[in-house]
Amino acid sequence: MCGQMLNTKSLCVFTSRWVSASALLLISALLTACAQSPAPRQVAARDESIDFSGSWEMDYGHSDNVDDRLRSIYNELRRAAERRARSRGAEGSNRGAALSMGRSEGQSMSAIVALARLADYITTSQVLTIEQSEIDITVEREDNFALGCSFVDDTPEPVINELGSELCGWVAHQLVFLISLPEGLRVNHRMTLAADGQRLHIATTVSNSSTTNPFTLNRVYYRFDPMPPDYACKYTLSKGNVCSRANSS
Amino acid sequence: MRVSWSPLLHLLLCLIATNVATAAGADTTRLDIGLVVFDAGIPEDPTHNKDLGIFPRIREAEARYLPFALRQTLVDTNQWGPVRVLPDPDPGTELLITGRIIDSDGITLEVQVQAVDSRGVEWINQVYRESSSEDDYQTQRANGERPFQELYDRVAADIYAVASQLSSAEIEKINQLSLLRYAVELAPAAFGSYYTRSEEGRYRLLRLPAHDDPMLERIKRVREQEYVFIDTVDEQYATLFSNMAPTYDLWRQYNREQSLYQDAHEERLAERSKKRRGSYQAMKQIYNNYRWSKIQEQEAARLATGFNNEVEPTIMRLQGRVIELEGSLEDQYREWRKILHSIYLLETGAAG
Repeated sequence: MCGQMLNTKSLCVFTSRWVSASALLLISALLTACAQSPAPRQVAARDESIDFSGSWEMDYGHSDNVDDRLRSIYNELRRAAERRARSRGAEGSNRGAALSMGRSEGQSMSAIVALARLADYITTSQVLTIEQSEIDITVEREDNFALGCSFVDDTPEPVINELGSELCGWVAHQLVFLISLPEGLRVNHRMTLAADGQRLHIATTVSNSSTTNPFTLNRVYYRFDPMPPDYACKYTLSKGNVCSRANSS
Repeated sequence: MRVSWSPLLHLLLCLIATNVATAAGADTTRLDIGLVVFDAGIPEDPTHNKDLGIFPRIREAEARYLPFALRQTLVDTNQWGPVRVLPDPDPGTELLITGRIIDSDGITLEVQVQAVDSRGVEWINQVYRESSSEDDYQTQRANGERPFQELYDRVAADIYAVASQLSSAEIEKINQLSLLRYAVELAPAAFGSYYTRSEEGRYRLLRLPAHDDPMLERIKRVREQEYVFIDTVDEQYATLFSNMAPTYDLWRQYNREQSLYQDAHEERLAERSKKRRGSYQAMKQIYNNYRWSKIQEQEAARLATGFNNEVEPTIMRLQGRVIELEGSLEDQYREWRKILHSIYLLETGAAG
């Protein structure tokens, strides 16, 4: 039932606003199983008032810093190595704990660094432009491809091309995009709107079939108005964007 | 006895002239051509559109644009009578050309073209395919030529090759059957016995109405009125054609560049060096491959939107103009034919 792309583990399921809560529970479970990323434990029907539409700019102050995240992961691994060393009754001091971070921890760390760099690379878009309607959403990302999701079909269908596949849907108040790529590489974007509607949080989780731990990078965006709202723009092939005052006849 | 040579000489000259005409082929300018708006070739299942690179609204515009481009080519040859673009097939047309778009992506134009005369004789039924070259668009635009002009030229040449083999008598028969088939549509009881139709769809003339048959005169008059309507419709297609041409050529050029880039990208993918699995470089490459494929897809969709935004007002005008009848141009044509039928029935007193 999940995406069948390139023998990767299954992608999971998309849902629309009309899908029942029980279906959402199933989706949630599949999200957890397939994407190896945290899924909400309690799932409710989508709140229809959630509207991501608008222009968003990255808030660096509230977004993750990759180096800080890596430092904290490194410290965690180091502490884990120390605990293991202590429990094995090795000579008790912390001396060389870092050095004694064994081969497996070292490999884990280098795998996590690779995932972290990739997550950082994937989420460098400073500006997002989102258009949302009753039936679909398009998340235009600066210097990257747009994420799109249709809310029409009741049956979740992955969008597949020869190089990967995508599945998307609402999980309660969050909009989730799952991208499944060759060699077990998976990218999961989880979008959440702040209660006041002025902040957008995107948690991007990158995982790989050859590593145990996924890496999640959080980006926060704030709303801005790119153009006075009384201008209507239309893209044309020969003239590019043609804008006119919305009220002019 | 004194023999007057003058009538004999005249007869001789006539015979020579007839022989010359037959040798050079009959006069094809006596044949009218009807070009039906092409079948857009859009799959019934819309999920296949993306795989086939089809944008339905663009295809629908192309279905109206391409027959007009062919019409222009046929007109430019000066080998034919009136050449008209029809919203629907008209059985009374002397030579009816239909087409189906198989592929149109800027690099390749592939259309299935069929031409059948009023006798039911198929002149051509084949797939025409033409590829554009790198400088086709710029050079041709600068010279005021149409991209894929060679395809239209080939279709025109193939049709003419068949026509040039026809004798004057055959052309005469095509003219007569065309009129009678049109007449049967209006008054089947009166004209239905003048020809037969075989199981293969061939029409055979059995006899002809009297030259001064008043009913046939009425039919001719109604037909002329229909031509006036068709010519008005034709003007609308001409407007669509001239308004759409620059945008359509631009769309085809962009589409061509996109397709070429995609091919080159796929070649680069095939040649890529193997990086250590799970390394940042390897994962970045995998992600970027997907990223570029998506950007490519989305750029094509954006261009299609730009095309629609620019061409749609013309198509809307085309559908909304002509005469104050409800519905699309195609509906209006059908409506008009019904009105003509009613006029005929009123004239002949057959109505009511």
